[in-house]
Amino acid sequence: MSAQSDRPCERAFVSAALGADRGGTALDATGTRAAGDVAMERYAAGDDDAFEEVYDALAARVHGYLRHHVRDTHRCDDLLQETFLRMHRARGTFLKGGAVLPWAFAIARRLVLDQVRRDHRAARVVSEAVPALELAVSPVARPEQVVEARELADRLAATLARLPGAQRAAFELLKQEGLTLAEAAAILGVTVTAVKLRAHRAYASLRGTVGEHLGGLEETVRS
Amino acid sequence: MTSLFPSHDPAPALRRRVLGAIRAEPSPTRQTVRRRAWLLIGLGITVALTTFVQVGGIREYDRPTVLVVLTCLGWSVIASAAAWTGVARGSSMLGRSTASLVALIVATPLALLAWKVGVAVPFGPHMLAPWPTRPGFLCLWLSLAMAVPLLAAFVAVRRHSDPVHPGLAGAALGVTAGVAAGTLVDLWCPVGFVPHVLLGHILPLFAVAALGAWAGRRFLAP
Repeated sequence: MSAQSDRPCERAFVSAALGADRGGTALDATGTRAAGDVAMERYAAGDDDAFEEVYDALAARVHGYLRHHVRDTHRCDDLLQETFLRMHRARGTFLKGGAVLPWAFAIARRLVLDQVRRDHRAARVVSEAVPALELAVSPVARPEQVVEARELADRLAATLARLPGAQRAAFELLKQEGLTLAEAAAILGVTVTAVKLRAHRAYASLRGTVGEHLGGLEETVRS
Repeated sequence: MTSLFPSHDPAPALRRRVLGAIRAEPSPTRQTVRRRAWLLIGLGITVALTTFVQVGGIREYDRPTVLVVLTCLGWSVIASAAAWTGVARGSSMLGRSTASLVALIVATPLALLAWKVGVAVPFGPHMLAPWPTRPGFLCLWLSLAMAVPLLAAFVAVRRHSDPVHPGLAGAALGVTAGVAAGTLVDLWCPVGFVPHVLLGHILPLFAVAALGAWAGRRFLAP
């Protein structure tokens, strides 16, 4: 069966048949496997030089994920190293046709959870403190617009912090990490429907915050 | 996909550090892992079969041969299905879904009990009659003695392979090892009395599953 196809329906069929629905084979938009998957496959087969390619393909995203969950920069770097070390130790278990990104995220997530369990102060639990969201503000924006954007970002961050852990995790994996529903479901160990539901509830809460904020602005303008 | 959060490119120094740490620690390739897996599974099966032969092997007593064959066949089919779900990982690097593993752990003991009793009923009520001298403790210990080496082999084979739910995956391995051992114990034990089956043949599954859950949390996560 060829994994290369221009037709979306055929791509979807190939993807499902190869197991991409549960974080199995990852096919990108062109129907080919991601560079990280191919490199990891070579690494699992014994090509030691391929690990640099695996690192280059994944490090920025995994590091971004860790940075979002761990306050301490050095600890974050340590966790990144540990994530790759664990992938390295388990390279012989990498399945042919497997997807390396959800696997790396799952390992990183487990390390973060272990870290949180070990030391609540060292790791940042999102419910305790959330770094300000960085919203893009145009360089020609007026000062009051910048202030408004910052206020909104703070309110969204606070809302995100108040979300139940399950909803927040689903939201982060989908929106922050850009994973598919199937990948997020596999990492969280729940069904796709459950991820959809949790993410939907998270969106609803965040939408509510934006609505309140805009309502407040209208009030200010009217008064 | 738009991202609310900025991506963080790790520093080149960190890259050098990680790659240095990787080079300093050798790790087995897929071929080595596969060879080791066959060896370990073979070893686990050999230990279980040796124990089985040591205690006397197949014992029919007053059981018709057809009943022995049917019971063994049913348990073997269930053991194969359990192995396919619990030991094999499918095509995903994240292991089987939580639902599949829970279904395996919950449904397998029920299926075994139903098959054991259901297949014996047509052969007459004496097939399910109590044996006062055999409450089931011997079968319990024998099941555990054969299942634990199999579980150890399964856990060694699946080491570092489940980052999502290692405890659950370990419990599934335990149930699989328990069913495989139970198939042999059923060839050895002629008692079909339900309390005996529950104590000597079904309870070990839960015991090995609990042991598997512990081992899974400890060894299966990468």
